[in-house]
Amino acid sequence: MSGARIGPVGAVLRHAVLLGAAALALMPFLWMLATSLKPQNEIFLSEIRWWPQRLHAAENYAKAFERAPLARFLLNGVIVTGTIFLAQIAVALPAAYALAKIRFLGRELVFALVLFAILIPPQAIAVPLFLLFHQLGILDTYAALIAPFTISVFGIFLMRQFFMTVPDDLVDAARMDGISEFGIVWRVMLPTAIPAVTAFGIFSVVAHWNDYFWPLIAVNSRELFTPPLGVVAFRNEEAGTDYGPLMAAATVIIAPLILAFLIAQRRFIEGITLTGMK
Amino acid sequence: MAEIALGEIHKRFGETIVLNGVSLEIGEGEFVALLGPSGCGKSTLLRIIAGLEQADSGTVRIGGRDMADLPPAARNLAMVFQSYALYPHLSVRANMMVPLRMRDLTGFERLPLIGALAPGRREKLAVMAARVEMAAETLKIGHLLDRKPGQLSGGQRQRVALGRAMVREPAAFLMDEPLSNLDAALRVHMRTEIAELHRALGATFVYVTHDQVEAMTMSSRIAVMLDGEIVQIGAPAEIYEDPRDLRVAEFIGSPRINVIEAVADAAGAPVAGHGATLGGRFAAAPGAALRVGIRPEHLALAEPARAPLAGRVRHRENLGAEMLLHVAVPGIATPVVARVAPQAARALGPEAQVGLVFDPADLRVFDANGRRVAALARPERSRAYG
Repeated sequence: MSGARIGPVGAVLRHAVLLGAAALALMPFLWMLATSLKPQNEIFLSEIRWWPQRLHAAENYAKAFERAPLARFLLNGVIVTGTIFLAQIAVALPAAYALAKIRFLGRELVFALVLFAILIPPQAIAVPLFLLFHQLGILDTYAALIAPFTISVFGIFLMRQFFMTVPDDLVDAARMDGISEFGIVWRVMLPTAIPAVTAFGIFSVVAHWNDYFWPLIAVNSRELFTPPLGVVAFRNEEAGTDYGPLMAAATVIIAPLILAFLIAQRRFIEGITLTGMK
Repeated sequence: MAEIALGEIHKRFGETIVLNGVSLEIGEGEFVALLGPSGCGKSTLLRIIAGLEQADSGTVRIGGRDMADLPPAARNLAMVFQSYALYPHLSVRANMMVPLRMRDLTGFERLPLIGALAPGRREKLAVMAARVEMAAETLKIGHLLDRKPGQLSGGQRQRVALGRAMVREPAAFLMDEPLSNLDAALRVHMRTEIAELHRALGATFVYVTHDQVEAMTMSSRIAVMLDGEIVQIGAPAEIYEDPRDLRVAEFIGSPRINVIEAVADAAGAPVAGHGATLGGRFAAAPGAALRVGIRPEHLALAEPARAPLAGRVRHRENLGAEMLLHVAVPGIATPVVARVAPQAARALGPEAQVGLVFDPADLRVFDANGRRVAALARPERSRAYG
């Protein structure tokens, strides 16, 4: 409708603006990719060259894997983000179900506390958490990387909003059929909430895969490094100014995220529109 | 199959009293409609029977057993919901299997993958599948078994919901406005089907509705609920013919019963505001305020001069088989509606002056509080006027 009103010139203009903005956002990624394919002497040329004259990809990527335990970092990333996500779901779904579908005294107060907890920035509690984990003696372990994020108040909020839209009749029908309350959460609510869970999954995985702040505080041992720590360690200690392998490592580290997003893209957008969070 | 007995059920949500001492006996195999406007507590009552809601006080007995503290599933009832409440991620077949799986399989047998190792599970599943097939056959949804609820029309979903209720052969069926999401034509059709299903199964049905037509056409007895109380319970004809409360009289019947403000004379006959004696004799003290109800179909056209009610036709509604005349009678606040044969009314021009006559035996008289006032001597069945 609006396209017809604007006319072909307007349409072209509109797309030009959108393409420009997209190019701006993509530029660093493309530059990273291009750099990861170049030999050292081509990286610092004064001219912009998107494709190297001498392809150095194999060497750069081989070096990246050789100089740092990239595979180990990736594995750590998978273990940490995967466990965090599963734990968040295990907590958020029952909590959201209770907040949305079970009447109990103080429910509104609990929900207000959930909203309040969303306001607390993770940096604010980093030091107390560090001290607590020190007392517990779990610093520099997977537990230290995972434990602070197992309860996601944002996840509880998001799922609660979604569950509010599920008709009460469905819950009552399940009760009539003899499904227990926990059974309802996992066998009725979860399947209907897949789009919302996927959307939350992407938020959660991206946030914790890319998290640099907390892992930097919580772990020291190189074998526990998550991908962002790995990249940084890579640069500081070994690669120095060797940007080819560094960019190769960076590419390797963000590749899983991009793949995951492409796979879940449709569900992601569905989930965001379903919960009205545009 | 079982009878249901409710004793003095009280329920309040916060300050609001939802149910105020409701008692009700539902016989085995009976079809009872809980009829009332929205907010009268009928759905809450149904949910208390189902166990989805706890009464503050009172007893629920099903098949003679006290249901206190029994969870919904242990009561062996099936419920059909207004929104159908089918599991959206399961096929029709799987939807109908759920109640059977939950009842007949052990927790171990329901486990994915390793549950298949349980001895006897395969036989149980075969029995369930056969039941589902049978129910689907009865409801003519056999060809839909592999579809998801999202691919079905409203009527088909309604049938699946009925099927899911049928498979476990419950002690009673509880239905919460099951037809109100359907379009008008389908509603009429499903009305017949549910009534037939009740005859075929011979089971106890408790049917909540705000639609008097559904209650009148399907049920063996109607319990009219208003403001958290059962005001009257009886066969549909009895509720219609012999309402014990003005609210019942007004709620049942479409178009609504005409209500004329009147005062009792010395003989107990009601005299309308415009001075006409309406006839009959009722147990009312002279001078008592009365509200006289007369159903539109009990009014007939007559010469204005000789009729107790006379006025101008304000509006005509032609329904094909009948015509509704809205007659403005001087001295009566709201227009009096008469249901007459179209042939008789066709000759009338707009704003025509008409008279309306009736048999005093058809008058339903209520006192100022809306309670029914008995007729003293049953007047003879004759047109008193005209």
